[in-house]
Amino acid sequence: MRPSITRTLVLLTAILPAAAAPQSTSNQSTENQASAQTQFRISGTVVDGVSGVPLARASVFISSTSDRSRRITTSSAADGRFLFTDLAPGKYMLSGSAKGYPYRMFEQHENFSTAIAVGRDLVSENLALRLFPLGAISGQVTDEFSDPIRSAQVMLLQSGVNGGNQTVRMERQTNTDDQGHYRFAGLQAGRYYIAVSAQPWYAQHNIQTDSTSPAVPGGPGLRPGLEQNADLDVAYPITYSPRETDAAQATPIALQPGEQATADVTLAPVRALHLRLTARAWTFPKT
Amino acid sequence: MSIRLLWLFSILISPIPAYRQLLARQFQVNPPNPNAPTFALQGTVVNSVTGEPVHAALVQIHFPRQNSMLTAADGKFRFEGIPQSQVNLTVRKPGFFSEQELRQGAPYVDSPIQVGPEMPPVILKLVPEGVIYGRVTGSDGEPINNLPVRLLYGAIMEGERNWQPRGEGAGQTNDEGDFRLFGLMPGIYHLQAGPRASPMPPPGRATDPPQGYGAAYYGGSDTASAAPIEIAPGKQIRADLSVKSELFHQISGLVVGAPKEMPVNIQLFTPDGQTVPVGIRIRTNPQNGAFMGYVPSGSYVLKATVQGKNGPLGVGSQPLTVTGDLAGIRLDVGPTAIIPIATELRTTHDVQPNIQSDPRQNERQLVNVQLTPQGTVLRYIRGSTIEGPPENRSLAIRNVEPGAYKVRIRPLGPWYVESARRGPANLLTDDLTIDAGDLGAPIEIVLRDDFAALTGTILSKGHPTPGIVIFAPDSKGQTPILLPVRTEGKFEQRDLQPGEYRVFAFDRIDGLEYANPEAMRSFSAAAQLVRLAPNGQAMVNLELQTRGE
Repeated sequence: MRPSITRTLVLLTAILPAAAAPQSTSNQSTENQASAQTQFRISGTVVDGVSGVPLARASVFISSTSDRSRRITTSSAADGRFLFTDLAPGKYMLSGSAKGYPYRMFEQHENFSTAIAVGRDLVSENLALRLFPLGAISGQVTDEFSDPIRSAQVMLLQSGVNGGNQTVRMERQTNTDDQGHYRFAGLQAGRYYIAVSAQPWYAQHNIQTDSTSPAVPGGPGLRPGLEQNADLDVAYPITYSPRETDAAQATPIALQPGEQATADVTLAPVRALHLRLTARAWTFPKT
Repeated sequence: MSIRLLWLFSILISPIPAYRQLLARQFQVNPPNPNAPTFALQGTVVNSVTGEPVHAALVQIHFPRQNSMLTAADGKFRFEGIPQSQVNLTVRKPGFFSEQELRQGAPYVDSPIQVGPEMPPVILKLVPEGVIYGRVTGSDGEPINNLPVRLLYGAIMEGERNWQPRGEGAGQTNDEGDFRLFGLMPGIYHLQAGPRASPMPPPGRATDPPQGYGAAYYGGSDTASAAPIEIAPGKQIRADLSVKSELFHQISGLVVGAPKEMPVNIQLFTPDGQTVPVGIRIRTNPQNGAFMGYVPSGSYVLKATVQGKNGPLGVGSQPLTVTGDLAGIRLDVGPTAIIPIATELRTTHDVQPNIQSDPRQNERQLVNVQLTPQGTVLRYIRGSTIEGPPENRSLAIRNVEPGAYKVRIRPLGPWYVESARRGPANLLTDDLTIDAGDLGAPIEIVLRDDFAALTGTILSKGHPTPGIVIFAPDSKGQTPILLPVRTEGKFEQRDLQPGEYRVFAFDRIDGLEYANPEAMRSFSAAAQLVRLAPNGQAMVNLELQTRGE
């Protein structure tokens, strides 16, 4: 009985790390001369993994799983189709990238992908190479008066599993413009947090040191500065979008492929505390 | 040695929002004398362009200590408890310039507020900043990201226009090719994008020259032909740019004459002396002085510098016009020059400054000399220094690179510069030219102390009024003198160098090219021409010229 498979892809792979891009390339014409017995093909269409729309001018790569250093490159046509011909039987890794679409391997899931078996009675055509668009998170940072906060430090934190542990690490940071706007582009799908650090531009701390103050025995103390309006002695706590100051309560942004997410942040001031830290005196050795 | 360190940190202690109190409509000042009658100082902060009230602007007075408050939603503020007195108010808010900020250090006449009974409300104006924004696209219309974007601002410094980098913001395009440069004072700007090398060579072309974008200028093909963008207060102007992708050209050559094993730094400049932005690097081989790099088409100045501990030991530069690969470029590095300065003080007064009687006279620095490069890639030299052993000290300028400089001489005492020469060159009117291998002939400066005095009154429609007096010398090479006149319009300037002056009075001088005779020609009818003899005196009345806001 003839095998009732519509797509004879041999799922093999699981040990093939997906993220590393091949190191060297060669072109199709060079590969044509590689072997007299090459007669098989890999073909398909590069599509947007979200919308299914074909992607033109995408770079498409294959490499033999037995020699991944040799890479064959082609570009998708206007209808997204690609074709590799004159291939020797074997197993191949298929991957691609396009403008706005990061490098991705065929049927990639996390760090694993699927190899394509090429040979007699094996179907390796009409494949769909799905590339997922990069997303972005942007927003506006405003203060308690609904005025934009310029030059605020905006941090992009990403949540994920690293070494078997759930971790949150800072991916990038940027500063807001005069309209309080920020933007992180080129993001892969994932769970993110937006955190903002800034100081009220109008804050008047004006705390001075006072060597005669008995505030701390044996050391200088603090005394009020020149400013008389204590209500302006304020600071902004680090705030997660939209207005959470407790990191444990921050709401993650589940960014989907190609999503343009918005995460505005509103900062509210609290009274500042002035903390004095005194280092123990030390003596430099005489030279 | 024992050191005690003290750090101060502001951290947060209270989760209770305090901002509800911030927009209180008034603030009570603690007066120095509780028994004296006090008054309220109130007013409104408005946008100078729209006239609309500005909320949450910070208003400050300094009486007797600093008192600050934010304006309410209607732009109003009110300080209570101020004794009868004169006070100065300041106001600021992000996105606006105060009057003081717009002056950019130019002298001005204070307008203190008289606090007392029946005092009218005060209007404080904030000038909204300008913004230039836009998108950079390639020839295919696609946005170009991470491309450097730079604004040059035609600032008036000491009465002369200078082009300086200006504008807050990212300084490069984002992923959508957009840029936004803000914090712009009113004035003239030039916009430039690029150049930038592509971060990675195209696939399959790893050995090719890098690809990237040359410099693009808004409204022109270079800095000279670029269209100026005029920013008025609060103006937001869109300025899109298009850049063309191109393969960079290889330039290579040899640095000749540099001491062996000394690091040589090679930099690329535009012909007007601006550093070419990041992304384009030229590598040198310290063993043999060979250098190589890739640059886009354009005109440049290539400069090699051998850096020593206290400045450049040697320099060499070469103009380049790049339209294709250029090999065999020779950069001859020569030593920098030391220019001695000889000063002579000719005194005429009986009471001398402690110069003649000072046994260490030759240790005393009578002047400071600055060298400002003239439109090239030369290093700005801030000042002269005292050189030589204690028994024979003299003034000199070190590390002077070959090229042309404008010489600025600042007297460090009650004397003026009568003449400054180097060989046949009159440095009060001509540039100082340093050739390669310069033999270090001295700059000879003659100083005198026979100042003249000029007194007078500023009038507006026949009434004395405050203003700013400009003493513009007719003699080329002398710097105009500014005198803010605060009360009653009367002024007296006693340290004027003898000679002819055109004397003006203005209500404000920010943005005025008062050191440029051409720019001042339109005010010539308002000038009083005065001739002052050594130790002489004269008197003038000046009609105030109003320049408005």
